[in-house]
Amino acid sequence: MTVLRKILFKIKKTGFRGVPLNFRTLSTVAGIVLGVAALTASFNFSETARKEILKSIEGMTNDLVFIRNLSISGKSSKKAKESVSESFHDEDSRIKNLITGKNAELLTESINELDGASPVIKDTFTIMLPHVKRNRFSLLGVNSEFSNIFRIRFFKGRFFYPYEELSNKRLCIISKDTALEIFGREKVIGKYLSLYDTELKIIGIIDDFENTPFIDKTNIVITPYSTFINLTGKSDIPHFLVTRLKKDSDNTLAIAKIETVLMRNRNEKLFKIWDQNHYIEKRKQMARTVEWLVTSISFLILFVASISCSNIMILSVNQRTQEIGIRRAVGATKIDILGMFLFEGFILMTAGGLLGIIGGFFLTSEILKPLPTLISSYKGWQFDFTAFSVIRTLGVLFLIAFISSLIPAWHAAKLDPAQALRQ
Amino acid sequence: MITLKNIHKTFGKKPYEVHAIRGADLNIEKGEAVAIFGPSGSGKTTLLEIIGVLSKITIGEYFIGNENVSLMKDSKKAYLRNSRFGFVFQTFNLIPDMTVYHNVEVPLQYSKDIKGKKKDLIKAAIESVSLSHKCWQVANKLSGGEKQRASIARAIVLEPDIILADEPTGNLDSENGKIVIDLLMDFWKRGKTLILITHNESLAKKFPRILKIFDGKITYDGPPENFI
Ligand SMILES: Nc1ncnc2c1ncn2[C@@H]1O[C@H](COP(=O)(O)OP(=O)(O)O)[C@@H](O)[C@H]1O
Ligand SMILES: [Mg+2]
Repeated sequence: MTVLRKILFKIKKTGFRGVPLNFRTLSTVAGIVLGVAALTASFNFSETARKEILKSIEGMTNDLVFIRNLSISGKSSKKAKESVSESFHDEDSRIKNLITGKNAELLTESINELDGASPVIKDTFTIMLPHVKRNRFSLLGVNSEFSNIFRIRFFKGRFFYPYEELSNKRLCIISKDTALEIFGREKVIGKYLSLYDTELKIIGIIDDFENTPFIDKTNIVITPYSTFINLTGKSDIPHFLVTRLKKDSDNTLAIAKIETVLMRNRNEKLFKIWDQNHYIEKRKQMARTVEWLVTSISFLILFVASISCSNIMILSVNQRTQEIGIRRAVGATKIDILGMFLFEGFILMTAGGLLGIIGGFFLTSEILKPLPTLISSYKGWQFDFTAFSVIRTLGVLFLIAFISSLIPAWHAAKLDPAQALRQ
Repeated sequence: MITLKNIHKTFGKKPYEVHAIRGADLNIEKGEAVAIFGPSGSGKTTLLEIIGVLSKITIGEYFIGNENVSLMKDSKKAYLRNSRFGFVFQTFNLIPDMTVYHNVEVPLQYSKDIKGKKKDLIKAAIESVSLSHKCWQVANKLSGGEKQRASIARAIVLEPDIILADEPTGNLDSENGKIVIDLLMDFWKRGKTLILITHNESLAKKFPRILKIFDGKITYDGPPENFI
């Protein structure tokens, strides 16, 4: 209580009697509110963006090496397959040069540095069930080494064994979210998933595996490569081969060896070999860019808000020059006058700032939050109103308040009392 | 108590400078009542501002007691204005949107040594100028006479030694002017120092000592008897 009284006295001593509620003040506060709201929202955006970008490369290693046919890239695989079957004779030599699923074995057998290799072939399918929200799933065809390559952590069950792949077993492993989507909370292991008019027995549920930009982890179903080819009738042209390098092996050397091995029975190089290094670097660069961009925008907003605050403070000082003279005449020091206007600026900015943060909350929930559902590149991003962004905004706010009030306040303080009184 | 030695004060920059005080020597003792008389623009207000430590001296020395004002820090000057001087202005200089009470309170906000309860001090000061009934009136709603009485209450609330009044009746009718002058004279009669600017000659002649200022110089300093 006494502390409160002391603070109130201090405030009284500053000569603060509230900011005049006129149009100028209101428009200034409105400006500050908008500025701060934008600031909060952009801080939120940058933070989320940075977090999500870094999350996407989190745990990504540089030990994975990918090999892909140049003519077949993700989306155009169907077309490529068609063109392959249609113009079989024209493309005869081409086909010979394409990477196939069997090349995975060749690689592991021939190269010491590799700790497993697997083809990856993808397809999407839909399941119509009344209670299923998301009904698009991706089906992956891989070999038994895939589990080790991607360091799969199982929630329940297991991966398939080499002999199960060889004997074309109707098996599948599904991700946790797939299990939840389709079966809810029921027991899943041993149940069957009906795909392409075939029943696939579920033998494992995946909790998580190593991040890679080339496999989307959501709603996946994994089946042996041979089973995949059998079910879908697709040709043996995987989307890519993936291999894991043994610990401490040299990427460049390994890539060179892979190329040599693959070129043994080919006369034209129609494939591309790459590791994730470039990708990881690019992502990090992206995160930095986002941060830089938002920081510079924030500075711009900060600048505008502080000019607006400064403006009203200069007006306030000018309007109250005589009062400054009076207060100086009856005993106020320069510091007292300085404090008086700094405090006023502080009040102005706090009022505007708090409203602005509420505005920022609104912007975040109304504009940023729906983004992931509207724009696919923001899929899975969570725009939350983080405490950190509030604290950061408040920090910036008080800095603005201080800087923008300082100059007018100093101007007021250094006025000669006699001069101030004569105005 | 107050000693000015060869004071000069100029305003503005070189080619356009105004030489408002041109070499003033002055000595005022405690308990004196001094009227400063002279035509408009002669430098009266400037001199009073210098005495009240509101304005810096361009050349010369100013002592209060034994202390050289020019060497004082801002906080010391503020302390002097707060504790030793009370100001009364022709244009009242009240903070217009504040009540009489809060206007009188302002000096107390900056005072370090308040004797007694703040509220009592303020009420007593307002009472002594017979303005208790207007205590919670906002300053800009007062009549001229009331405004000047409020400003006297503000000037005396901290019981200063010296009152500096710059044409305090300049904006008042004769009736209100008389009330204000009586209040200020009462203050002097209690043993305090009063320095008052006027260009009303008959008012000046009521003071035991008159300073005549002309063109920035003190041209007469003495009793009213010899004043022409
Ligand atoms: N701030 C100022 N800047 C420039 N000239 C000033 C300033 N203050 C006063 N003066 C000039 O100094 C002279 C003395 O002014 P002042 O002391 O107010 O005279 P008085 O009070 O006797 O009428 C006048 O010529 C006035 O114009
Ligand atoms: Mg004057």
